[in-house]
Amino acid sequence: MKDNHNTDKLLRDALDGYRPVPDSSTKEKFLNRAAASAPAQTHMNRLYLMLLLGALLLAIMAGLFYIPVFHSNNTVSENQAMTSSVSEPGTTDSSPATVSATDTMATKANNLTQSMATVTIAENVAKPVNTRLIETTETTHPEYVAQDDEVTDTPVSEIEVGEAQVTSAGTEAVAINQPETITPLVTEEPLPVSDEKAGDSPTQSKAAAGRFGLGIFYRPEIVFNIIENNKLIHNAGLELQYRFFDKRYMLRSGLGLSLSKGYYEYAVAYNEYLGSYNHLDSITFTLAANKFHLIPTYYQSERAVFDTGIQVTYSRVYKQHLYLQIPLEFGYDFFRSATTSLGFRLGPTLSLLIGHKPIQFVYDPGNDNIVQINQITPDRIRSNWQVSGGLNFTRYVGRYMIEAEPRVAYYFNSVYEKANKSKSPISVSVRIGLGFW
Amino acid sequence: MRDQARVKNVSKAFLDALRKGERQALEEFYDRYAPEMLGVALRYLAHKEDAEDLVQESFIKIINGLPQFNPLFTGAFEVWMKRIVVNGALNVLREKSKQFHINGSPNMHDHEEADDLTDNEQQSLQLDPQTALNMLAELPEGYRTVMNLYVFENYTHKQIAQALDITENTSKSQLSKARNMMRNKMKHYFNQKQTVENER
Repeated sequence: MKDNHNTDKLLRDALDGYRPVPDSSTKEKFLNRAAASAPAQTHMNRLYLMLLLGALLLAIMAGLFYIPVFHSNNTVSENQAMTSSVSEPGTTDSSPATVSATDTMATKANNLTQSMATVTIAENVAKPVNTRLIETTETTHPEYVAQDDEVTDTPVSEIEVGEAQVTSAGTEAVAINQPETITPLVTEEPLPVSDEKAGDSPTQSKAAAGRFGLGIFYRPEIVFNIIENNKLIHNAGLELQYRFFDKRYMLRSGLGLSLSKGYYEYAVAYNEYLGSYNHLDSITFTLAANKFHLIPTYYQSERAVFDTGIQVTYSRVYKQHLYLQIPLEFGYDFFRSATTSLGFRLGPTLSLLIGHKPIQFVYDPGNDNIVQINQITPDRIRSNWQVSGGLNFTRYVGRYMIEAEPRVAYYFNSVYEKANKSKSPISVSVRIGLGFW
Repeated sequence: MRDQARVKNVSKAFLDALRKGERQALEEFYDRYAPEMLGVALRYLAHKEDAEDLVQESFIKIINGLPQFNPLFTGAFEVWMKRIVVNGALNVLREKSKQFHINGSPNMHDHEEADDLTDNEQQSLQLDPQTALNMLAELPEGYRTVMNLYVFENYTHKQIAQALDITENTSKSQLSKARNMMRNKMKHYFNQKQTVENER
């Protein structure tokens, strides 16, 4: 119990409610500083958030568009390499006319021409080197002319004559200068070419290399080892997944929102309101001339009276916290068919607090004078890491997929700013996703 | 005893306007709270310029800290503000002297044990705020701080010890000495006042 010395009381009475007027210049200074700092801070926070979201969106978009282009470019460049390698020994060394024709054609003609050349090579695998080279050039040129007459005005016959000369010269050149350039091409390349010929379309080949999928998910989660009595957390978000190595392996990331609600306890120290009285501020007297006496006027103000003893009450407030979640997960499907797959998913998730607000006020201070509020339940932490994993079951319907995934998560640190639990939180959840390829 | 109207009057719209930095809200905020917070600051810092600087710095902190403020309870805003001002004052004092200690050289008679004020003295002794502030300002810094925290902020000795990084016994002893000095000053003031009145 505190002493209530007369000295203390005199000081309190003298200074409690003392409101000296600050210098007017300080007000201007404060207004200028506050106006400059307050909106800037808000804008900076918004700017950081927008930048973060923009960067993630850009990464997702870049992933969506870059990878398919990357694969198609790879297919084209492989074919181009094969065509030019075959033409060079015969044409470059011996006939400028053929070089220009071939180059022009290669530039203007598309993949069809290139694949024709490729097929020609494949057909000639078993033949001797010289013959194959001659046949390649001979069969190639009529095709070029047939496809695009505007490329060159040279008649077919001239080309053929030229080719015959060039071919013989080219054969010599190959035999003398660059035999090794041809031999590896013919002997090493046929295997993939003949595979492709056997039935795999380019689309199938691309699909086998890797594929992107975009989806949304909802994941109700029950967390254990936390203080709040409401342990249910709602998670939802947008995710991008990339499947590779025959689509059995996958990487998944994206953006999610996590909403958690719960009660938070506060200890409120207050002085109890006892009542009020009319405080006499001043009295003025007016002389009533006709009656020769003074008429007093009382100026009063209502003053509240509080108990000097401090009392403490406990109150609970229902609050909501919103987190931004950024997962990065790796997965492997150990069973896979045309319509279903079964596998596991595992990876870390970063949670960042982006907002919180009280939903329900259950404490009414009434007229009491609040002295201090102490938060007993510590506030939620601003960021934390968790690792989570689960079994994934996916059903494919055309280009769409439906996912169900029971999961378990382990939080590396407490979800509260002050950890008063020795055990780290763990959770169980079920993720339900809908996506498309 | 407090004016009830001062305790509870913060609306969410007002706080939102402050967060956005609206000039009208800032002006209203300053006009409404600056005098009271200056009164608090003056109790800790003897010079008015220092106190005004402290209020200004604290108000900037309050504006910047508004996103962290949780308007859970009506009236809590003022408590929160006052805590920021008090903590700011303690920081200023800490910077001035790394430790809180008796750095003044009080008169010997200030340390003499003085009897508590009699009821008669208390009744007739009406301290005006400026006189009370002057008396507080004359106290050594450590005494003044402990007395302020105990008398005006309702801190316990344990809380004072934590806030000032001293022991509880030091807090108790400093409070006792501060009270003693204040009683001497008040008696001296009372006697002077009596003499003046008698001369009249």
